[in-house]
Amino acid sequence: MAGEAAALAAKKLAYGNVIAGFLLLAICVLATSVRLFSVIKYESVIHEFDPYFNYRVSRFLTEKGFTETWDFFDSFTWYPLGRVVGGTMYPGLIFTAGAIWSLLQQLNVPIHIQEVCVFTAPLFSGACALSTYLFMKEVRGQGAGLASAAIIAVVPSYISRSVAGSYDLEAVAIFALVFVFYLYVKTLNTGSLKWATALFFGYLYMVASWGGYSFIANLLPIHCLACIVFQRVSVRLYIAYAPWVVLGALAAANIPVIGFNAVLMSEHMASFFVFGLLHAALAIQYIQHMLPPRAYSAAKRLVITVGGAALALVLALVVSYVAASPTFGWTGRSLSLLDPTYASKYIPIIASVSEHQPPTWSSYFTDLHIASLLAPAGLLLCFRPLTDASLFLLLYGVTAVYFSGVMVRLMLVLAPAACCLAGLALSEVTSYLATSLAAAHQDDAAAATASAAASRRVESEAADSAAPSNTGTSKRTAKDTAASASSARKGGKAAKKSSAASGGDSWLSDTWRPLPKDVAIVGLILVFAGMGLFYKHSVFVAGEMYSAPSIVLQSKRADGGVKVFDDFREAYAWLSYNTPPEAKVASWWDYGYQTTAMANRTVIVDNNTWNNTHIATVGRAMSSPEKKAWQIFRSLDVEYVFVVFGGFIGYPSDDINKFLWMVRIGGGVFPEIKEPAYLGADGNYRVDDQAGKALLDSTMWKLSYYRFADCGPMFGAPRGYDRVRNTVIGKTDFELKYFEEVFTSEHWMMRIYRVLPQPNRDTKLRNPRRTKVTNRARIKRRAASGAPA
Amino acid sequence: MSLSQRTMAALLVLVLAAAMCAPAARAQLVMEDVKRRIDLTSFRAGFQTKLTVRNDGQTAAESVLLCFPNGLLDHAAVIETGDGGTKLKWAVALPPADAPAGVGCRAFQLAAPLGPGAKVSLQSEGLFTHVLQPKPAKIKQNEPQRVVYQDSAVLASPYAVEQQSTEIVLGTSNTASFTAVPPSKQSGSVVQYGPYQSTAPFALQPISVLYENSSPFAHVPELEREIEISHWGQVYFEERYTLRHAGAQVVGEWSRYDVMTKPAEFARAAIPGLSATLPPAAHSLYYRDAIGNISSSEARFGADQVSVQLQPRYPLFGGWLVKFLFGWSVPLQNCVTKMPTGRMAFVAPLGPAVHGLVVDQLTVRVVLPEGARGAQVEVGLPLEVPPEQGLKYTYLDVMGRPVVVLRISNYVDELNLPLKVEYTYSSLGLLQKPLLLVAVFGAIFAAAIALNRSGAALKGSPSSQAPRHRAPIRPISVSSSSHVAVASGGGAVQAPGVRRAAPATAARNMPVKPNKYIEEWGTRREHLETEYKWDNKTLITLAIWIGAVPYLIYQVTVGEFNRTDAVAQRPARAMLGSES
Repeated sequence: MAGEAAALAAKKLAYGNVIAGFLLLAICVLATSVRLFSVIKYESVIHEFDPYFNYRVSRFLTEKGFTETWDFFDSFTWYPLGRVVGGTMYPGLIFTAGAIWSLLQQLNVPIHIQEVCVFTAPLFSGACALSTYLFMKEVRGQGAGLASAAIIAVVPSYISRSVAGSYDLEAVAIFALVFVFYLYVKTLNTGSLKWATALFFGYLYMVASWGGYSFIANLLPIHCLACIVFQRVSVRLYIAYAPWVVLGALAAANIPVIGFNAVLMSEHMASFFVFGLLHAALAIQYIQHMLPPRAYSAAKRLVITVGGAALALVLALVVSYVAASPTFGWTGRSLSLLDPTYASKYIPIIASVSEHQPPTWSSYFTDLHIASLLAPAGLLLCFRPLTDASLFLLLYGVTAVYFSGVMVRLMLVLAPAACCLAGLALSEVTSYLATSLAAAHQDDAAAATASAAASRRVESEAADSAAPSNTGTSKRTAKDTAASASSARKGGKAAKKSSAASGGDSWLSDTWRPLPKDVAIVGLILVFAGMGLFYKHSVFVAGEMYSAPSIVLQSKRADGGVKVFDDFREAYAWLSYNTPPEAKVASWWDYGYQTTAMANRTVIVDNNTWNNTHIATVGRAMSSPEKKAWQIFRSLDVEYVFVVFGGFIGYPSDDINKFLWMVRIGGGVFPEIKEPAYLGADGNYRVDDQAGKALLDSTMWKLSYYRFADCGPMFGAPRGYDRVRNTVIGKTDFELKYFEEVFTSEHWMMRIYRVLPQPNRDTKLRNPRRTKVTNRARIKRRAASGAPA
Repeated sequence: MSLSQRTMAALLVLVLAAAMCAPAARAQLVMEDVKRRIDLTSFRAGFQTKLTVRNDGQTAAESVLLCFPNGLLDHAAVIETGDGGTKLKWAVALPPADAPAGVGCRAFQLAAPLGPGAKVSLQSEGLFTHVLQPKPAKIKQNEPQRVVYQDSAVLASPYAVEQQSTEIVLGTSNTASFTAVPPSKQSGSVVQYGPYQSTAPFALQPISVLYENSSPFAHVPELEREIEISHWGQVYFEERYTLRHAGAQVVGEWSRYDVMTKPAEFARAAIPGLSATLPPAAHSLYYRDAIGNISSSEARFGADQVSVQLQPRYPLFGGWLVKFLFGWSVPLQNCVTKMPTGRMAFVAPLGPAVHGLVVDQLTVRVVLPEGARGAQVEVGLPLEVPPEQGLKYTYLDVMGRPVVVLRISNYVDELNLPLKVEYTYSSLGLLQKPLLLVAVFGAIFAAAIALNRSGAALKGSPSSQAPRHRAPIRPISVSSSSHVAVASGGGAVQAPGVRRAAPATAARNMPVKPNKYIEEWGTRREHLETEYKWDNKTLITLAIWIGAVPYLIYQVTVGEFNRTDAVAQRPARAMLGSES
């Protein structure tokens, strides 16, 4: 009887494993394919801004090779300074795409690196679902793993950064993040040096991929510290933590962009501090083991006094070292996380990026949907039972919630945490409901015979049989089956736990009682309905909100067709083919990466905002009157200047709307730029006749609105009407003296100007050849006009 | 006839013509009447000449020489001469010794030798490219584009001409100037020269016509056309264009506003779009460039053809350049037929799908399927450059696919050449790739199975026998006095000391594979814990290892740093302990 039952259980386990495997495969396929909307609706193209830099370096990698890429000095950007790309980038993503590309090349698959780049993010989303499964399997079990994987596969927050074409660092970094967590928890659970080695390599990949590695570098110490405080120090913790600190720091130091920051910056201090603490805790344990109790207490006193003094000394040293640095040893970006007001006060460039703003409540719901509801329940379930691994998940969730509150961008770090917690809650809830249902079913069948002792055994068998019976019954989405399989696994486990009559480490297991059948059914329906809504929402968001590549815009035409606004590429292609290859192009820094990648021209500033002064110089030129701007641009050897202008078709993220940031950033370095001068009399930023005088005189104004006034009647609006600001602009008719329009794209979204070698002669001036001009007056005028004599 | 034979024949004719025919036949022939019509309405110069040739000599004439002044012949894309029914064969001929510089000639072989006293009427047609030079070469956006054409008012003939006239069709009456050679006049859009009587051989009358020509000068300096034949069912075509507007360069301000409001004035010579024609079965069209899809195109799928309108990313003004790709697929059976001999024949047009271009250098690559042999190319024209053979590796190729490369310069639509490639290919070759994949995956699976069956070593590792993580974790409390070890036990947070003794037995019962390093470490540790004594010897050892050795290492390191700094002439770095 017992042997048969064991054989049956083994068979069911095998079935369960196969089903789980297929589910996992389905989840991975789903995670990848839900991100392909952008390719289907638009095209296979690199999105937005930063991905263009990564793409360009990847192209460089495929053309020049691995070692050349480490030494890549980019003379096409930050003219005349250039940029040491090899030493200032996180190479993980680029080398990943390069590796995939060269593998395909080995197989003679003639694929362009661009296609590889486009599909890297969806591919790694599938891998991320897989590593989430592994992570949660380690933390709690297979059911929680499947549920979490099913949620993270389509969580909108992650989709927003990993649609096809979104070739950004986060594309592989989130996978790496979760995978490092998995390896850490695995090491923690097994205490195996093999996994500790894997953890090192995983961490190396993470460090190479994303600056967000510092989150791990602080989360692991926090967890270790918590373990120490809660007296859970073990050799497994030591094996998981100590090699990671040492080898991880070495790994980080080997990535050029981090280098000695791995031991110098405050971000990394916590790990070393906790490293020492862990050793101290283990030493105390050891000494306690060695000494008789009385000697131990004496030693304890001695050590506490001496150690306290030493610690105070070290702390004082560290504090004085840290305080000597203006940012307290933190990098600006990290500090703006710890002190959310820091960036807006001191670093306008960081503050000017929209993804560095704090999120709104609604964005939590849009980006996490049901996960934001289930995650708190998951947090509670981490305590039932609280293991080292679930403690880790708990800490991860709590810290990620904090960071996401500071910056929209870090919602991305919260997403895996929220998904894992939600998956935990989902799997527990579903398993509870399904087990209740199965128990009720069994009760109906064998109602009379069940004694109090037997019912427990029946329960466990019923729970085990839940999986096959459930999967056979009705149509299933991947999610459905995930839940049911998870319920089976969890149910079996829960039932076993209850029959094991353990010593009370779980507050539910003693009092486990099935819910009434009706309640269980309604509960299950509600759970599946919730998940259905979540999937519907996610697919909608993936298709409608996050798949636009932002370099191509679409709008619905009256006849139902799609109108395509491809102005950016039109202008970049024009620059690329119709300007001298050595020409320098100036624009606001947002478009730097795109210009170097698509137009293949040298730019003054780009999205790698490492030199504030340089950016401020461009901001100053754009904010200054034409003549001053001309001098600045000439001094930078700029031949072409372009502006992005939305007033013709109503494209809101144009340069006029970004202009105040140019003024602020320019004014931060060059005090002659004063923000109030660019505002209207009422203190608001406006472009109508109440606009600030400096704004009307600025080069940005002139380059944006040059010859624009007469376009108003074309779309049935008054002369000079701006369709973004919905107003008639304050200054319409003016001539350019120092610049010359050379190209404007079809919908006026990009306007390219040539910086004239000599200013145009002002028609109002009298012809100097006709009037008698003394030599002195001529020199004087030349000096005044600023032209080289 | 194969291509190489063709080429040989052409060369032979050339040599013969150059050596013998021209000087011998020349003196005898007389042109009775020549009517020339030169069409300059587009950006290419077309001509149409009707001539009546009479043989005044004693011997029959085999061929007639047609000559062109001003190096025009170097720009000839196509010249065809017929005698009313058949096209005459021709060869390049050396110009006669008395010809002025710049004159080039072709010798046309008559269908039948022209006997003494006999007459023949010939029609000659042709196209010259790159002969209309913009003047001025740089204009403003709203200025008209003017071009200059240079020719001779009379036929550059090696024979005496009894009567001739020339008519130049401009397509516009906006003529800036034309060289007057009386009797010459302009009527409307046509400039007429002649009739002239009895002109001597090579009595050239240079003329130049400067007129307004708003044609879009769509020149393609380079065009690569790649055709990939896959016997899985499709033939893939891809054309890579570099398109340049070779008219007068637009300089100064360029205004989009003016283009939108007054295109007739401000965009008169711009290239707004291109049209292409594909075979009716064409599908999977794409039109893109290096930075992605170009959205401004439109295809109409008709019964007898697919017509496509391609707009470049921006309208091309004088001097502007753009590059793009255009590609499509055609089902295999529409292009490739199996000939009675068993060989395969691929037939397609040689030239590009886009019309109205002048292609300076056309490269056509035909990629045959892997395993194809004995490729033979046939084009309706002797090629200047013989076709090259190459190899290309794509999709899982092992041996590579044979490639035939054809290069033709100065290609225009009017050439309208067919391309025929014959090759031998066995359908069994189709099985190669599936078999390859099956073999590779089979090998992988077999290896995995073999490894699993024989792999006792994989299973026997100590870690897999160590307690799994599911076994709840035993915390070690700081105040506990138990041994530090991996062990299994209870799970959750526990009050210290709740279960102190329970887990140790489980750990001891496990089979453990001894590791000699761990054993060694254990021995040392045991030694330290039980036998270690503090005496002078151990103290000295300790002092050496804790004090002296690190100090020496530190000093050596600092010394090395300072030395390298000195060598590199950098200021010495401040080290720990050195005054900075």
